[in-house]
Amino acid sequence: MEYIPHTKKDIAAMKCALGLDPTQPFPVDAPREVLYTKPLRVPGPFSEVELARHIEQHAQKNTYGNYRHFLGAGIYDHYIPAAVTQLANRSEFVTAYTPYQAEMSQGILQAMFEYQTCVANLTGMEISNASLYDGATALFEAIKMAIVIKKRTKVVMPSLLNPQYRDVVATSFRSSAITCVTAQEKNGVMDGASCAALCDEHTAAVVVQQPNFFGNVEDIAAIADAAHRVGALCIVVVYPIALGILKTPGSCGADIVVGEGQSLGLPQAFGGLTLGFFATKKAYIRAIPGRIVGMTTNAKREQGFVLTMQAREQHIRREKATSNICSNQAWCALNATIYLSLMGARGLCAVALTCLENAHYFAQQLAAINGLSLVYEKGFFNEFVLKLDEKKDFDMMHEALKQRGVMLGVSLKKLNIEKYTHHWLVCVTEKKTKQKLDEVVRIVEKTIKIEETV
Amino acid sequence: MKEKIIFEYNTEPTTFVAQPRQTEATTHINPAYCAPRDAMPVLPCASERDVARHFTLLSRQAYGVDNGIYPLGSCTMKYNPKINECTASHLAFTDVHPLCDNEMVQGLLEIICALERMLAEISGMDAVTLQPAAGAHGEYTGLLMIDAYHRYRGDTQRNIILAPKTSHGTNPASAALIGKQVKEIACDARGNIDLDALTQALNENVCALMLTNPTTLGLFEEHICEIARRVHKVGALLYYDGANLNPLLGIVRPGDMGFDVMHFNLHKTFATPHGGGGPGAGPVGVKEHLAPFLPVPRVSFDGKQYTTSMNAPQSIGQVRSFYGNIPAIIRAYTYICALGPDGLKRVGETAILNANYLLSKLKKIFYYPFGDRPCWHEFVVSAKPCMDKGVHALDIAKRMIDYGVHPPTIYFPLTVPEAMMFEPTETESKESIDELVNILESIADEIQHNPSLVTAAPACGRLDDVKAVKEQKVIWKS
Repeated sequence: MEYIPHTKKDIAAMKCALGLDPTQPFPVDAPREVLYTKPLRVPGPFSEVELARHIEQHAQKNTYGNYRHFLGAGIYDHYIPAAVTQLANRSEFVTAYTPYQAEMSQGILQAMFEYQTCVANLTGMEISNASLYDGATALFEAIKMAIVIKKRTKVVMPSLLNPQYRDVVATSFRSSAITCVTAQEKNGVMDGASCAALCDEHTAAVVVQQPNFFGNVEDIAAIADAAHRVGALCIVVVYPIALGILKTPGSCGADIVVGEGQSLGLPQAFGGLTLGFFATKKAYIRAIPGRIVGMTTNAKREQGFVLTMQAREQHIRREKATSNICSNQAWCALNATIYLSLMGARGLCAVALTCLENAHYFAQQLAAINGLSLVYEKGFFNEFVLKLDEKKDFDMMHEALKQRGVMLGVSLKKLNIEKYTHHWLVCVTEKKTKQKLDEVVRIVEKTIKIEETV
Repeated sequence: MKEKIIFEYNTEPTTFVAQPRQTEATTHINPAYCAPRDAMPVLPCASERDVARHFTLLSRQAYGVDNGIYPLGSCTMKYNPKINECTASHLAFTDVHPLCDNEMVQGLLEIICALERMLAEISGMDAVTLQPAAGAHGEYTGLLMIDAYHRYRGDTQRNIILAPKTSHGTNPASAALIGKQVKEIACDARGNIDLDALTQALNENVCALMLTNPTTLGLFEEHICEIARRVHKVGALLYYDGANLNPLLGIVRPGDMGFDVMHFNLHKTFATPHGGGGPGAGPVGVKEHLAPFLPVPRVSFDGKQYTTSMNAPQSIGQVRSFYGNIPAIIRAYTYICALGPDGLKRVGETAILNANYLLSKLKKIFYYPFGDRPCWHEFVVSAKPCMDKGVHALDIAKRMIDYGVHPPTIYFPLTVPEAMMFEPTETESKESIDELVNILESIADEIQHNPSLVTAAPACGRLDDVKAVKEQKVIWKS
């Protein structure tokens, strides 16, 4: 099917208006040597009904829904209220462009202004931008900003940082003069002594993930302190749902707070609907990347919103811009704003507490099974590291569980996390009930016993 | 009607998730890290009904392609087919976690590989990654790969990137982001990049030349083959900004013009929606010599199964988390399947016809700097003659808002004074284009006889940009 509304008569009339022969194709203004004269080898055309059937055939090949999953590590399966999807999918929101023409885009601008407010308040910071691509690139932008502000070239990274975030940062700084050093962990959280030892007058920023990659809650205040003592900035990468329980990074001394906003009302979508949030101090507003919406008035003193501080951006400053970002994750930010508007602080807190409770219950039950143990027994939010007895075959156990319909967690072995060859990172959200958790515990118990006798 | 800020509502929030049995976080987490119960973050406090009303009201203060014509040059605001929304929101593609085992998502991995192949075919490239999150991100990824290619060959002195003065702002910004110096090259009177100036600037310190074709002036870069030859002769690579790919579909392929690497904008050429500013999707296509540097993870097919892998020793690494904008990928795949090879070709042909038809009418109202040169999918006219009556391009744009249509891109590219760039796209009908022409003719008439109507536009009053910068009110405070 095609989406071209012209009738044959229209095409003929338009060609005539241009003084062209209506029976001939429009003359192409390009050198003959570059013209592509073969038909493109792509599928189609399909009518809509065939199209739906074709895509359904692909969908049927996904067996994901046959398993129970306990996967986290940056993308989370939280409940999305129906109103989020219904409202965000209004076509005025979906098919609109960036609101450069403010007077006809007040709705989008106001929604983004509300998003900025939600993010700033949630993280305990003074300002926020209107989104970046994802948590990983937001971290890169935060580090870059700290380097520019402090005019220093060293960054202290936590060992318990999401490995993808570490890789994205490494890719970006590979051929630059920036050095990233890693503070070690102790008892599953950042080792204060290791961190302090690495901080010096060359340090632009100290990064910490909250909760960290293993799900453990960090002492942000202590890390921020270590950073500030050498005049460095403290960058916190935070899981926003955890902020239903934890102190805001801002109240603990964070200078820049970034993270992945997918857990705020967006589906997992194979990691494809991400939302990088970025919040910081007002003093740094001229250094931050990305779009910002500001409040203003018109001549009649009526309140309105505009994209502001545009002199930082690529379309004005070109190579001197704070970043190259143009399209951001605006529609994802809209979903997050609607989610937070529906949930409110009380709802967010309820989600966080349920996640916490479910995760600790599940962890306790699993640890009681012979052959399984918790690497860290307390101090985690909704993810924990579960260890299989070293004498057992981890790969075989993982497969055996899958055969019984359980994807127990992210295999740390598969992620190549050093020294963690018999471990899963297990995540539980509010979507799991106690009954379902008990069922899975029984399956795991049975599977271990069966594997034992083999 | 003005809608209040969501924070100004104070109604009983709806409950979406049951209250947990245990209500103290401190049972499991050190109290020192927990927020006190009386210091919860300030978030909206409104019932579902109020939230629904609020965002519905906001949507009515927005203007999308579904509301009317959107002739923004460089943006390709074409119609977003609704079947794409259905396929992209299929639970099999939305309710999946990216770290599950490969055998659970064979259908999704199949679509990823298929779209990579289709984009390669359409562009004349050899390999594609769907990872980058937007066009600018694609540029960044492509430039990182070019840089890796040079360094891998021991060519470490290439620290300059060239781009025409007409290039999109993201081009020099992306170059600066990877630590290169940017040198901008002027254009000649016909709108091509000045071949002599370019040749003078080409030497062994040049990393790459970034171009788009058709250019941001909507004109074909006439010497493209010669440009490619001269760039390659000094050992530099040629980057294609895929923002202007729409009119080339099925007619010309960037790979055949000598480009080594390019990005696609799925949210432009492939009809995925703009969402009020994003998310976009900026896949990158490369010729074989750059394929080893593609970012990870990669998806591949071994004849039996689709698998994902982080194992690519020369890869530049990851440029974002996971695989890319999956819903946009599904939409683009659906779109290409719907159109098929002939449909894709008609997209290009009709986009070109629409633009030239609109140009022929607007030439009579505004100044077209390029004489008889036909345009491709977009064109730039200048509102400079209107300055005699004290009217600027900005005023014309604002007056168009009063007439209920979205203005064109203004003040870009920088080489044309009072620039207005129009791109109708192929999904505008002859009727809607004729209506746009009528509106612009009316405004032209106003400029002649009643210019203050235009300079005072829009009727709702212009918002004070200067005040916004001065006051920096970027979050709401009660």
